[in-house]
Amino acid sequence: MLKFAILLALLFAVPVLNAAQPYQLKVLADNLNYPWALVFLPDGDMLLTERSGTVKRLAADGSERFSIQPALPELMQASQAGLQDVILAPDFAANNQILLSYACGTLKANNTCLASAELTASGLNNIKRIFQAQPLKSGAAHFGGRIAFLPDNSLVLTLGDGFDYREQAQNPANHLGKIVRLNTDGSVPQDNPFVNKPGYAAEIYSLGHRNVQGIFYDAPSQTLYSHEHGPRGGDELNIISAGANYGWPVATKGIDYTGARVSPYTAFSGMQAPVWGWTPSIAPAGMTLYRGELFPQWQCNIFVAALAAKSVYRLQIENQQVVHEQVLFSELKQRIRDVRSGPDGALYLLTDSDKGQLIKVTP
Amino acid sequence: MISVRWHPVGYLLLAVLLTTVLACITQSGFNLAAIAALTGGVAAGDIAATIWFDLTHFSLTYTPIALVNLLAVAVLLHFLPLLRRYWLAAGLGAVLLLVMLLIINALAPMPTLIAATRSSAGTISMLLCSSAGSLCYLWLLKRRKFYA
Repeated sequence: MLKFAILLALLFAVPVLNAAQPYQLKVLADNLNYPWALVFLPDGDMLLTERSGTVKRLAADGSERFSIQPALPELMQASQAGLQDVILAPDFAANNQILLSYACGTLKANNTCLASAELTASGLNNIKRIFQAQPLKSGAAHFGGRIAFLPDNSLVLTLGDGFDYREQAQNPANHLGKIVRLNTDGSVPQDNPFVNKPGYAAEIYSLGHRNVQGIFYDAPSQTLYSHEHGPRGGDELNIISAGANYGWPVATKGIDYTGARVSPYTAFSGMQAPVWGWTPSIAPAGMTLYRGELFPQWQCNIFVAALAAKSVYRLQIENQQVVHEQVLFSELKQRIRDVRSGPDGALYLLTDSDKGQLIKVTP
Repeated sequence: MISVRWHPVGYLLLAVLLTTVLACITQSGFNLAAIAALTGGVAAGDIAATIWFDLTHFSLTYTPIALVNLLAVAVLLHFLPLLRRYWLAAGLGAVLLLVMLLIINALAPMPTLIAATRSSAGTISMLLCSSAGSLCYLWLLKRRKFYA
């Protein structure tokens, strides 16, 4: 009888533990042209990028302070190519330095670039390209383009395989399909995993990626998380270690868009397996880990914006393993390009369209 | 000797089937070769499983392409009897497929839809599959008329 009572109690307790967290959605800004990334300034303002090449500074209520088209060297706009991520340098308070990632070059010869700039009251000054991924390739697909800072103030920049060049993700001599680690001036940290190793590009931090469009470093757990688009199926959440190989295109659970098999292997010796995956694909875009105060139930959860799935995936993590997944904000019926955890404890979403929105999520 | 005279549409479907099977095997071959170059080799069982997978999955994408390709060949052969030579039919199938691939890649969101056609060797191989289908169709058509 006691066991039966305990069982009943557990059955009723589970729905309480998993009860949906109520939330409200408020549109702070709309008519955004394919917004791509968002970052919060110390004074409560936000910087927002649009793929078309625009940088906007918004007040906390979403009102526009400025909207500019910075003169990014060789900015390329076509299909997936354009302005991508924005992030504040660790010493932003001292020098107002920000970093921007973008596709650069021409349709026949392009790759991902990283620029630094100084944020002023009315725009950006002193824009300098500090890195360009090599080699230059043709086509306007798979640029990666997300940036995160590590605790030593070096940064990691995610890159794509260029779609037609997927085998190059396993070639350590170039940057296609890699995550690279750089200093804020574009130089190479001398403790990168392949520095001075013949046949290896010194900038490489990890390899074997397809198109990484979400990355963040969680300082309390000292973990660098990233996710990447698979082809048809095979989207992955990974924990990134210096020098590790994440398998693409040798080990994948995805297949080509035509239905053809990319590889016979879903796992391969010496290649890191993902900690979580999505098949069919959700097309993961931005990603954050929530440590705000407004949503106690969401503490330390990872939020993954999804383009194809038109929602946000909330992942509960225990011991670096995903133990629960919840799909959120699907009522928006919008492709979600980015999700960020604001300093005020709210979640912020960017929807992906030519009439994109910045949406604030509060309890 | 018993001879079965099919309607030309039946010959066309046979040619489409042949082209699709050859294209699937070609697609498998190029993807497997790329993986083998990265891993040092692929076991025979994995090769067979990949070819079977592509025959049952990639074929769903490729059959409509082959059908349109060879239907265009059949229409041209019907209205232009001068083209009913094997070498011309083979060339016609290849050229029409090349045009189709260029159009597909221009319209598709990705740079190259069919992975095998990322390289010149792969593209030529796929064109040869189309040539084989065109030859098959013309041979069946001529055979039908011979026994008529």
